[in-house]
Amino acid sequence: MSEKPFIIYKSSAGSGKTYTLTKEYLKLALAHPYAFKSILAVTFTNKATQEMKERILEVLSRMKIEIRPEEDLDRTLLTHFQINAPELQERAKRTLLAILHDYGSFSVSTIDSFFQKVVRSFAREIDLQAKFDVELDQDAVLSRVVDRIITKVMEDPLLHKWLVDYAHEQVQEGKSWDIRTGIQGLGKQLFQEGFKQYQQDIKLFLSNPQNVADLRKFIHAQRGKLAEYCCELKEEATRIRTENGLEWTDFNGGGRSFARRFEDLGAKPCPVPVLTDAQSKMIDNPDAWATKTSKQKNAIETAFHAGLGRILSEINTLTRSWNTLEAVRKNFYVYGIFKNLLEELVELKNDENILLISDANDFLKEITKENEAPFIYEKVGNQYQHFLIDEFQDTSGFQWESFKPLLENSLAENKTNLLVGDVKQSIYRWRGGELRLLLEEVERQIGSVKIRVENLETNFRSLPNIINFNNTVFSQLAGMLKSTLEEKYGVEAAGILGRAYEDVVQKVSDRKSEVPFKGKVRMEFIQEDKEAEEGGSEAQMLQKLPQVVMELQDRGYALKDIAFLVRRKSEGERIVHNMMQAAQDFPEYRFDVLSDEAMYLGQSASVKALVAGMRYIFDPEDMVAYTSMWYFRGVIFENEVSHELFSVEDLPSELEPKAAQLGQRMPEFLQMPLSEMLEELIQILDLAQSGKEKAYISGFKEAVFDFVGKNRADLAGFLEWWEENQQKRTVKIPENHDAMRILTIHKSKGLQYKVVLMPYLDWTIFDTSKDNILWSPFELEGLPSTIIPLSLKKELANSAFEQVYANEEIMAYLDTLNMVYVALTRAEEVFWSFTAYKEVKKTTSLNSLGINLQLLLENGSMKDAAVDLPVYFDGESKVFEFGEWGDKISSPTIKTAPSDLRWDYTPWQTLLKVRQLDQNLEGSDLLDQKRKYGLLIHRLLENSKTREEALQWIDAYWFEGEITQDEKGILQNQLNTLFGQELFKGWFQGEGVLLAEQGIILPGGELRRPDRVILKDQEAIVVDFKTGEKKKYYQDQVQAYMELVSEITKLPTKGYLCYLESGEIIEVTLVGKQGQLFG
Amino acid sequence: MHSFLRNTAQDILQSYPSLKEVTVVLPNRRAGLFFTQHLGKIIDKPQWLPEVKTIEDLFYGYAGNRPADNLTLIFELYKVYKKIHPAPEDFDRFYYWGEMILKDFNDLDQFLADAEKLYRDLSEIKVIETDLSYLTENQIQLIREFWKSFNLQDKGHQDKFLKFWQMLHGLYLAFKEELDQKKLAYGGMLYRQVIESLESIPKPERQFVFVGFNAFTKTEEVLLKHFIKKFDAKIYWDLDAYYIQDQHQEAGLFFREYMKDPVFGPTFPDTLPSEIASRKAKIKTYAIPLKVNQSNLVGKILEEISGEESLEETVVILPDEQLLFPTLHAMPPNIDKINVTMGYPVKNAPVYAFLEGVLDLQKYTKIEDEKILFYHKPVRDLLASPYLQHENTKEVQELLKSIQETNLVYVPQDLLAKVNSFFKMLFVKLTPPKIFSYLGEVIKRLHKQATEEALQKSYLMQTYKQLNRLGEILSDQQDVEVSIDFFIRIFRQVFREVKLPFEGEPLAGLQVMGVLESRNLDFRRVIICNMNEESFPPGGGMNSMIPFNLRRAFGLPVQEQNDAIYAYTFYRLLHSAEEVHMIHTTAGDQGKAGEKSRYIQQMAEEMDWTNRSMDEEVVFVPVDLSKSQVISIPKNEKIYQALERYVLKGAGERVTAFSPSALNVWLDCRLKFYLRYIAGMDEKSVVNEEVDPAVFGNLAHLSLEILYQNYIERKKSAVIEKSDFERLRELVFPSIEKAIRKQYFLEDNAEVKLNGQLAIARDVLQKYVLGVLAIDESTAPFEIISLEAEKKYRTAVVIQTPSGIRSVAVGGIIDRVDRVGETVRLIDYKSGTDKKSFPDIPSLFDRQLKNRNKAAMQTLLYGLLYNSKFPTESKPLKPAIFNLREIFKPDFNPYLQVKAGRGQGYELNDYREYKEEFDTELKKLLEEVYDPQVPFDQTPHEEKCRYCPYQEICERG
Ligand code: SF4
Repeated sequence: MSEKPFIIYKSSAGSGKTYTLTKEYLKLALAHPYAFKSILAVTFTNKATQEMKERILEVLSRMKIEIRPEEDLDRTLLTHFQINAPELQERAKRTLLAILHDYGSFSVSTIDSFFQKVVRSFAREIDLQAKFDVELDQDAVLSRVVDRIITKVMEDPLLHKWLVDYAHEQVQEGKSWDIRTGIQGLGKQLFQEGFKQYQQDIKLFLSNPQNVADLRKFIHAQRGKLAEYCCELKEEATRIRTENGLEWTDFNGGGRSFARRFEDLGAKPCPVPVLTDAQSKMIDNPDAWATKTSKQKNAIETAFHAGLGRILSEINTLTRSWNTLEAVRKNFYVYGIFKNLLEELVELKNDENILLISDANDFLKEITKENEAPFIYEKVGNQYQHFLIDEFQDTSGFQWESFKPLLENSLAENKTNLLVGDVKQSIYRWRGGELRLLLEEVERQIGSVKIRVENLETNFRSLPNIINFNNTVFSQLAGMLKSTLEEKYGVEAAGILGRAYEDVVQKVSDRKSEVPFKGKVRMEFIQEDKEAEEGGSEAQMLQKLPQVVMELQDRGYALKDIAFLVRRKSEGERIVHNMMQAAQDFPEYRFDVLSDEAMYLGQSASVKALVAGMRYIFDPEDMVAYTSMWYFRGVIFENEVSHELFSVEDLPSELEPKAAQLGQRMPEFLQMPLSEMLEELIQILDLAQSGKEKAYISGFKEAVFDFVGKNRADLAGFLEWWEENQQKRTVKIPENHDAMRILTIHKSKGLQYKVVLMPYLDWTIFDTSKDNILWSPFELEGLPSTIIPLSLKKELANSAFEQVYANEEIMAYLDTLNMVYVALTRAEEVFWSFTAYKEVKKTTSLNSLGINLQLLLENGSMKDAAVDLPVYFDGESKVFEFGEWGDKISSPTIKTAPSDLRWDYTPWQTLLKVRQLDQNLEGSDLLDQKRKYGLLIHRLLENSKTREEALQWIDAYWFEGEITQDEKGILQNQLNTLFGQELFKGWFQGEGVLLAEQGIILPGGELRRPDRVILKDQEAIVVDFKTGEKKKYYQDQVQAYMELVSEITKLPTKGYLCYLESGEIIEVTLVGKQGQLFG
Repeated sequence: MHSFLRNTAQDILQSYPSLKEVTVVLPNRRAGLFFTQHLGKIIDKPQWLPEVKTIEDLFYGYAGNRPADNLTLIFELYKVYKKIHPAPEDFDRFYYWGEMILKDFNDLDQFLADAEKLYRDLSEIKVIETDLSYLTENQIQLIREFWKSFNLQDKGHQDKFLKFWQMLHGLYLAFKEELDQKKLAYGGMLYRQVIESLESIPKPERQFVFVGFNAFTKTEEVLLKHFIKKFDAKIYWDLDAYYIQDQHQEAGLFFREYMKDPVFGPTFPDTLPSEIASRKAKIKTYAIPLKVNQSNLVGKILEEISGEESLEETVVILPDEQLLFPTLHAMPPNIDKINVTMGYPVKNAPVYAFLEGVLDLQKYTKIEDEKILFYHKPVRDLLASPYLQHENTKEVQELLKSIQETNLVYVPQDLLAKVNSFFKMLFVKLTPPKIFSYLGEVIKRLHKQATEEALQKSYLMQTYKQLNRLGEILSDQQDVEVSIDFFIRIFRQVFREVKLPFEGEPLAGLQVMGVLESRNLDFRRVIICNMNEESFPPGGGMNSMIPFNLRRAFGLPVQEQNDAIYAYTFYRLLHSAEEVHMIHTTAGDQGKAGEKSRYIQQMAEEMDWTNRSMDEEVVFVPVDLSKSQVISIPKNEKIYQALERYVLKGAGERVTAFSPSALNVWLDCRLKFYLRYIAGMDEKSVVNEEVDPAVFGNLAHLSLEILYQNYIERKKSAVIEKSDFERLRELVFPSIEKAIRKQYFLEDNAEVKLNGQLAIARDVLQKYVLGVLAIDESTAPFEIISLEAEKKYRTAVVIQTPSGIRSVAVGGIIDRVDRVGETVRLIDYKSGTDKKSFPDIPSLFDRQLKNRNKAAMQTLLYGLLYNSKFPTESKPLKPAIFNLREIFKPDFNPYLQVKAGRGQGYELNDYREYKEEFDTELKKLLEEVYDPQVPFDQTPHEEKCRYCPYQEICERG
């Protein structure tokens, strides 16, 4: 084929990305039944993996039954393969079966799991241990690393001094002396690509302690110099002022005059005063220094020229130097111990035998660099020829570098490869996602000779109004944000916004344009009601929310059609509460919500009661736990809140028997396995009977279950684990349950809902308050250049690091744009949002999404826009409303009556008992010892045909740990004694058929197993071995055996009893029956 | 019901009436048990039992040896490895690699592969020589394929790989030789041995019958064919046409191969049974969110079993053994008998957790000045266990308390040893050789304690046995160095698997078993849990050092074979099933999505669904979250009783006083006040390695107190002058050391052992104290009137309550009172950043205010206290706050400022100017405390909840 092998699909929202992937996958997989084995489809999340697999199987399964040539997919495949429908059907069938029966080779996987697989197969070559666990919780790892560092303080004076200096500096600045938080904060960088890409340089720099010391000295010195200089300036300024007979208040502005800044020169802690924008305008503008009416006008002008003007203009440059120094200093201390952190991390990983999830990327990079693709495939055991990578905009630089050699290998053979993604939906930059790869880098690196770029431009997801609205909004919003940036940083720098949104305009699909309802967008801007009691616009919004949900229900929407999108999980939590409240206030409507992100197990009273109960069991002195346990039980049973419920001594009377029961069982509880204890506790607190919160209780049981599966199963450990992990545990509800979804924008990618509600549609675009870290090169004369961590702060804008700051701001704008893009394009039919309304003044900052949207909708009229936005904005109510409601729809609701499950508890002991091993452990007890040997000899003799076999068994017991080396000797001796007797020896050799392992079976299945039966031509011999005391009924037993044997064999039968400890053999004679038979 | 084993028993009985000459070989013992049971049901008079054994027994019998345990083998392997490898890693690190290598060797032998040819380096000789000619073209192709991928140009990884690879053949030979010499062996080695001397096996006088096999290893295959050809052995296959005739079905992989085989072929029946297709079982699948909820569902399904049915015909298959107990806990009453093949896992037992805890103790010990110290966490965990509290509950409680109070991060051995002989024995520092006798003793001791706990005794017994075994093995390996850590790892690995068998008749009642145990058994109703990929079939991943293509080339099993085996065990369950329930979970582990098992998908696509369907139920567990309540507790009699404690009665009677912080709490949140002071819900303190803010603040107070206290005593004058500061500065460090001792209840001369955090804290503290001194120096001279602990100030406030006039006690400790010039300063040290300005007195008592100035209220209260104690003092009483965090500010000023809004304020110079107003407000506050109309309710200001310990109860924060 002459087609270019490398296809890059740029797929805007709703453009049928999954469909395209499926189609491309099938184009490759249907080539022959086993073609699927050479395709690796990479998705971003496990969930996406799952869906992709299901989708492919679904299509194949359908094609197996019927081909629909009228559908695009089938048509494409028919043409692609140049075959007819029955042939395609046959191929689909064969591929489907091939996949289902070699399911392990059906390689649709996340990047992480593919990488881990490769890393595992190279474990030895990259010096990992043979078995390691992949650790996901990097924060916990970091916290252990920091612990280790702090313990080292006592042994490492250098480190000690360094950290104390660090703490001291914090203290001087009026911060807490606690240094842990700081280390922990910056330490997170250890796992980030931002840091990792410079890791080598940084390590090198830090490996020489002198470097850090020099750097520190330098910064110190510079700060000192600067401060000194500022003091000089201040003196000079004061001198000039007094020489001209002026006071600072004589200058324009009076008591608040810009001129007072001269006073601030050289002050502590910041010697350089910061000029506001207005104040900066005074530089080189002597006319403005005095008010028009000022009597001192001339004196002021003189003073300006005498040097004040110059000093003021110097302030800005000084600020710049100061900011630069401060930026370096800010993270300096923690940076200084990065070497220790790195070393400690390596050691910890080794000790705990773990691989961090973020390590896989690094290792893979190494592996693909070190090895040719074929060798990698050989070791992994999969031979991939085609790569299909989804969500490519979120791929990180490291990931791409790891993949690249494999892709190139495949491309070299002209095999088809595929990237799918949308720059506009890149919202994982904070995790390393590098959208430039998709935007331009890959094309640049691979070269256009092999690449074909396709744009998917039809939106199949949404109704026309939604699409048109989005088309307009995003073209304009992108432009708006871009021009804000252009003003600051120039056209060139802001260009990336334009390029990313170049192809934002989508076409409406035929099918959606035929629908009578065209879709609706409603964006409410809430004007804060100053009269209202409290809570501001959020409270007003929350009041409206239930109404919105009710209206939607009235219009026929099912709950599962509705999704709340939020930016933060905490917003989700508030909505959960709001909906719960609404469910009480408006019982005639439903407000069920479902969220993987906002419904924590720990919110449930049952779980709280159980945790408190466990705490109390762990520590019966813990009265907070005791009281909380009863209190939360009370919440479940809607008990009245009273003093009794909280008081330790006198519980409400109905609880007393419960408390007594608990008290009684306490000693037992501590000796029970955790899950059993939990069941008992549920029982005592009547939580199962309450019938409430089953999903939560189950979730908690599952938490215990998971904990016990992986950890040492003790209560102390569990409680600690729960403390740390409860924030990760949410209620699990099946996907298709009819409830409204609450999810973060990040999690909403790839999903769609008929109605999307965004109650909190606003956020700061460029948020410099979070201390995000940027790594930037830093050069100093006399010091090796290095890369240092900068905290993202406003001050960076005026420092040597302005470029870094600018880049970050531009990317933050793009992040925001992308985030709204993802949010707004989730809706199929209705988008409904809330934002606080702001009066726009000249000084209003444009650094928030809300204001930009508001400006856009209020007056963002544009000639050729598909939608003339301001037309739909009602200036009175501040509501933007576009599109009319359609007829009442009827969305099929799935019944989700709770399934019938069994909740009662049965203690397992009522059904089962553990077989008791009642041997005594005390080795000194001679009698027992002997008995033990007797039993062992018995066992080995009954299982052996010959003496040799018996000896083998002794070895086997020894291997199995049943006996010790010494005991082995004792047993061997005992055997020798026994075999010393001729009669005994005769049972283990010689003529006759030995039936050692065989016994007699009676009708019905009962077994009789004499230890030995020896059949000779003329007689049968029955032997039974015994240990311990002689017993009369042993003889009866042997007689019974003899009867059975003679009945089966029709031979005269001899019987013996042999006591193994003493070796005594007693012959048993058969009386009665035998006589009659053979007499 | 169709039953393979019954049919087979019947057939054997008919074909070989003299059972005693028959040997029946089955895949596992469990199948043997069922086989004999079926036999018993068929016969009508007593009979000899045939010999029933497993194929392993057969091999080991002929080999005249049994395999040694894995651990011994890995040790032996390591010893050989050390001789061969130029730079061997230590044993700890080698262990898992050793496991993998051993498994490879075992496979090699089981499958009769040629080790020399496998482990050769063909990277440079790209032509595969003729001595591989016994391989098929296909196999040679695979080998070529592998070596072709080599590209030896300075490729570090390939180099590493090759080096290791080339060593393996030598290792293999030397290892086997070593084992031979020691009369040791691993399984595969024995199998190979038997096959290599196959011809020498004498013709048995018995009839061999092989029953129910599916997949053979190469050695097994050879042996069986030999028996068939030479000894006329017979084979019964347990199979169904469904998966054999359909070439896709991996379940039939082996059968299809065997059917083509000239020896096996004829042993197959002419027409394959077709039970699966003809039965048309009722099939239902369930999707369920949580793993544990599967049990609730199983319980429900079992509830439906009618009384007439025999329970034996129902099986619950648990691919994940851990689900056993949840499942047992959900058994409905109609299940009165149950048989479980898995044992009771010892690792779930707390006593086992205790043993692990004992070992964890060893991980964090240290020796300082020849004293052994244990890290507090494992010690605390152990002390909390019932096993240590058994005899000396009181002593142990005391011990715990003192560890807590003195914040012993490391607990010295002697402190623990003195409790009793058990403690003495338990808390020692071990060397690896001592570990066994040590654990043995511990177990014996626990065993003795557990007089009535039969279950406990059994675990311990079992553990003891295993321990002996481990001990023996390791004691033979003295020459290999093993660390304690390694031992702990091995201990975990071994003991996590230890199970105690359950009592009871194996063949009666509901059957609960793992996947592999179900082989050859037939059931009418089949319930399978965990029908998820990674569970059934279990997660793939061949752990092998031999690359995939080479494994294939040399006939070693790869994933394909594994898949086939599991698929067979699944489809076999359908042979007789009339009702199949398959449960899979949708929420996976660790972010993995729960993927339904391929078998469900295969069935959906391939079964004949005409006239029936596979029902799918999505199981939904209701959420019904209880809504949190508003908590408001009305005052009742009991509460008044509690409040009486603060009321002064007769003269001289000691009562509790409201402290400034209690009053502040009351203003912040009445519920918090209630919970802390009335309900008495005080939090527990724990040993804390971190120096938390409270402790740090305490240390700061103590240091300053000690510093001045000692200085005054020595100087014999309470007046501090400028000239004193030089000396004072020198005393800072010792004062801090002393403070630390006091804080942690250490004896005066005890050496202070600092952990890292505390060492840093100490140094920081020094800077703070020096900072305070600098401020003081600038104020000097001054006279110190009192320092905190010396004097408690208290007073009575007379208030109006519904039950009349009451005098309520208010009191507190003033950090420092001094006199500067004509002013008496009432000083409070604070470690935070408190504001010093406030608009007016009522604002200090206004709970509506977001930033009510608590510190000001507190220090003004000091004024009240001081004033009432020394009513004659006429100098101004000036509150001051030394907040450490601000002490370095150039414009530090400790005095309160009265100032509203942005306006210019003024310094508060004398409490008395505000006395009246303050008194009135305070009275109002206290009257409210006693007001029956005011319940204890939650604060409406959620920001107050931020650091409240009762957040959870209130669902705030
Ligand atoms: S959590 Fe809030 S409402 Fe509850 S006691 Fe604490 S401060 Fe009061």
